[in-house]
Amino acid sequence: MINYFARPRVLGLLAASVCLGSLVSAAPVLAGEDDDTASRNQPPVLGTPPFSDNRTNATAVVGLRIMPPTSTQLIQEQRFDLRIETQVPGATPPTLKSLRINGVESSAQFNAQIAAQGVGLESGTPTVPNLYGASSRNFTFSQPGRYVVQAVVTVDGIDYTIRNVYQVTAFNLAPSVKHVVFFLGDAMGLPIRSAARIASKGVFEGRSRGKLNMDQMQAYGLAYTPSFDSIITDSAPGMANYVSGLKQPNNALNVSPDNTPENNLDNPRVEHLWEYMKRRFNWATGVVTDSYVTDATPASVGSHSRARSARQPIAQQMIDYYTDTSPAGTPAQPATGYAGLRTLTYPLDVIMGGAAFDWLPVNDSLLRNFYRAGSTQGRTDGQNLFTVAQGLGYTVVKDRTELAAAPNGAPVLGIFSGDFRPANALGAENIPGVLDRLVARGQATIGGRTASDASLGLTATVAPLSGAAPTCGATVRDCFANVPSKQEMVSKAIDVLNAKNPNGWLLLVEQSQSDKLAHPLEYERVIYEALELDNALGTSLSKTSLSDTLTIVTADHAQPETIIGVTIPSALDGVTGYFGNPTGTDPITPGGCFTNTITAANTGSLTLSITGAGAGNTATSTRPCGLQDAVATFNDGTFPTYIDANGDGYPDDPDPTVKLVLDNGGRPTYSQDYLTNVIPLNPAGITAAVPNPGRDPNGILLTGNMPTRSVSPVQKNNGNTSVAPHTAEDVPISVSGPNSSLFIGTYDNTDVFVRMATALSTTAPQAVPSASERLRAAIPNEAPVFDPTAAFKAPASRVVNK
Amino acid sequence: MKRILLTLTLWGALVSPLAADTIYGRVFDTLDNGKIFTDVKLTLFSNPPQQTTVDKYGQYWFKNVKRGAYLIGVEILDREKFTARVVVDNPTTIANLDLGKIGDPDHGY
Repeated sequence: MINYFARPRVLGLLAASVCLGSLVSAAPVLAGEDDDTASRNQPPVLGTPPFSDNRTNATAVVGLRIMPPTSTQLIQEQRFDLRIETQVPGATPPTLKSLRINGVESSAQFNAQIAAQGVGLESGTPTVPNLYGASSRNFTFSQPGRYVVQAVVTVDGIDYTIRNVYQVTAFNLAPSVKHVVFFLGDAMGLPIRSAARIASKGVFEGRSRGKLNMDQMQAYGLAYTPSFDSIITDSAPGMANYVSGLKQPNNALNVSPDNTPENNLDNPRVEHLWEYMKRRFNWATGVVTDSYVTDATPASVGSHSRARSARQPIAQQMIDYYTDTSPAGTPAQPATGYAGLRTLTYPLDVIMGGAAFDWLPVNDSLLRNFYRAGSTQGRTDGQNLFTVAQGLGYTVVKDRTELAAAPNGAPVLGIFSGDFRPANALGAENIPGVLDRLVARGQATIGGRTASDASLGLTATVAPLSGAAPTCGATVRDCFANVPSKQEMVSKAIDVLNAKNPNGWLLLVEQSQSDKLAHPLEYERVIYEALELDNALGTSLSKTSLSDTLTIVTADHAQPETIIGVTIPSALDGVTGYFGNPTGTDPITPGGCFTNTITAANTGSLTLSITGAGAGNTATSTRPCGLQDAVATFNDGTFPTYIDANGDGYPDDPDPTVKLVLDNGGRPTYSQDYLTNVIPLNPAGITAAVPNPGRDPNGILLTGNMPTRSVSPVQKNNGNTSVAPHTAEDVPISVSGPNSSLFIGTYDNTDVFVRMATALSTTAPQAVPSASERLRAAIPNEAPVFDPTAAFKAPASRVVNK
Repeated sequence: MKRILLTLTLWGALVSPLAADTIYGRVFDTLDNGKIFTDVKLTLFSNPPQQTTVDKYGQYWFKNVKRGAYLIGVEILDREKFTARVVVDNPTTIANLDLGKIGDPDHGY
């Protein structure tokens, strides 16, 4: 029992001991305390404190660690790089004293493997003197079970010991399971699923009029999304964790961090499921996205890099192309130094997405004219990867017509046009959002506006920028209409994969713009993105069989958007006539919410003033902004009235009589008029503290809670977090097909990898009723006998069917 | 009991000085092709403040630092000064400054 009355006396003794301790300390101890920035007149602390690495499984003093991180869940025969390294240099060169795996001394074999690989890039040798670091490439555990890896490194005469434990899941391919289709709705959290259902199916007497395809899966779970080094993941580990089982740091693609940050391509790697199934069972593999195809999510099944920004090497890895020569500059993905990487990667049979920027050289006429790249955009090594891909057997296609005509019997590389309208929030590297493509095809309107309305920016002509190569169309509208829909891409992808190997293939389908249009707070467009994913899911389910295809739908993370109510667009659009009174003026008048003074867009200072109808901030002043009354909630939450008269699976207009209202818990300062923007624009102005004066200038001012300052380079958000962030909550995961019950429950995103592998394996017998029991059965707790001579082999020769 | 506690406390204070730790890290930008920054001035706002400049490998050290949370000033050539936070909780606290972690890679890249 604690005697609270005695506490002051005890504290006094402790205080005395501290004082005495200070007096007798041998070394000077600086008295440092945390402080607030104001008292020291320092600039604000960044939104993302960059110092102090998180605690990891490493020793004190020298930071000795083993990669992959302890508790990484591997599958039998999965390749990974076993790395041992120190993080703090000593005074003399450190040495590996011992490496024991399941109690068997293996340092001699490990060192022999490093010698066979060669020092430098092949082994991840540190450039900083007196650091230890060595990666045994493409190592595997051949038997399932529990492995204890213990390393001892001597630094300046002192032995440091570290130990990692790995669980290795058994894998024996089940002949009855033939396909995996993984739908990744980027940032598609639960509110977006709900909004898509409400907008698409409607609600009657409180009941949903129907279900989305993703609502009708066989099993549901929740995945935790933190990365190795942040509770807020980015899309790189957000996806790569799913397909590799490795908890990775932000920005990483199927690698762990290491002590050579100056090289992003030599980090300790792990084989992902796409590579594993192709290497071991000759399964065909593919990826479909609406982002640029080297972006984080699609690159998760096609590359290994510490930096997702290494887009040119990533493009080469996706088609398994390594070269030491280049027409210009330096080779982006050399062969020399990367034999281990080249052994690990396999070419994807289907690659579809946006942006030729990483595939064609700077100033290439096709890149300039068809893909609308600037004069400095493109590959800096002069490589034309379209030509290279064709030489490797790919059919390269650029639009919907060419995609339809492509033969199913050859791998396909489809790179399509982006949203190149000036100042739009997506940019030319990303396929236009589905709402804008639907408008271009005449399948939807925005607030009643058709593609012929000049404000939408679709009527502009598309002239060649350089030379006479063809453009993507005569007008922006033509270009957008020629981009294949996700359903069309998925349908073709399945045809090609089936032609390659009808008995085994994996396909990743990403809906990227559900994230990229959520960052700039384009809520209406995000709903359309979720619906396109769902419609593509329907296409996939109709072309495959539940009995042999594992279909997964999830997100890599969420964003802080949610449904807060509904509104009536016609009552606040400034146009005479509104719902219930066709000849009257709007009951809620837009404008007057605030005034701003700005010298020019994105330059100079911006002064904001809140303007109320009443005088001053007195008790009698009226509310400052009528638009605050535009959102109907609680008892006023009338059911929305979206209409899909043309039956294409999307609302015909995002602004029907009654529409959903979404808002963000994390946002820059922006203004909102609750009407769908004709073009997706960035929400913030010169910093995250002020709105973009060109977007909803008559809207309600919603103040931001994202950092306004950053030292990041200009290309990252103009120096501030001017968009909505990712969030840390769990994401829903929906699964159908063989062994789908394995996905019931809540678990880390890396556990999805183990569940996928178990679902594909005979180690998950249906006779065992409980998913947890079946998973336990697949991962024996026994420690297999380890044979270092067999495990540490000379670098493997390339596989014939690669 | 109280006498034993007092004795143990005083003895502990005499024989084990307060922790004086080291901060070690490197300054780089993963998203800028792993660029190592060599012309960086760092100021640890201890009392008194400590100042250091990173070496040619982008390395820096602060030694004899008491455990706790600190502000740390960063001055990089041609960039705006900024202040970050470091928590010293180990005999050697590893505090890498990866500029690639600042900002929003999903939006900018």
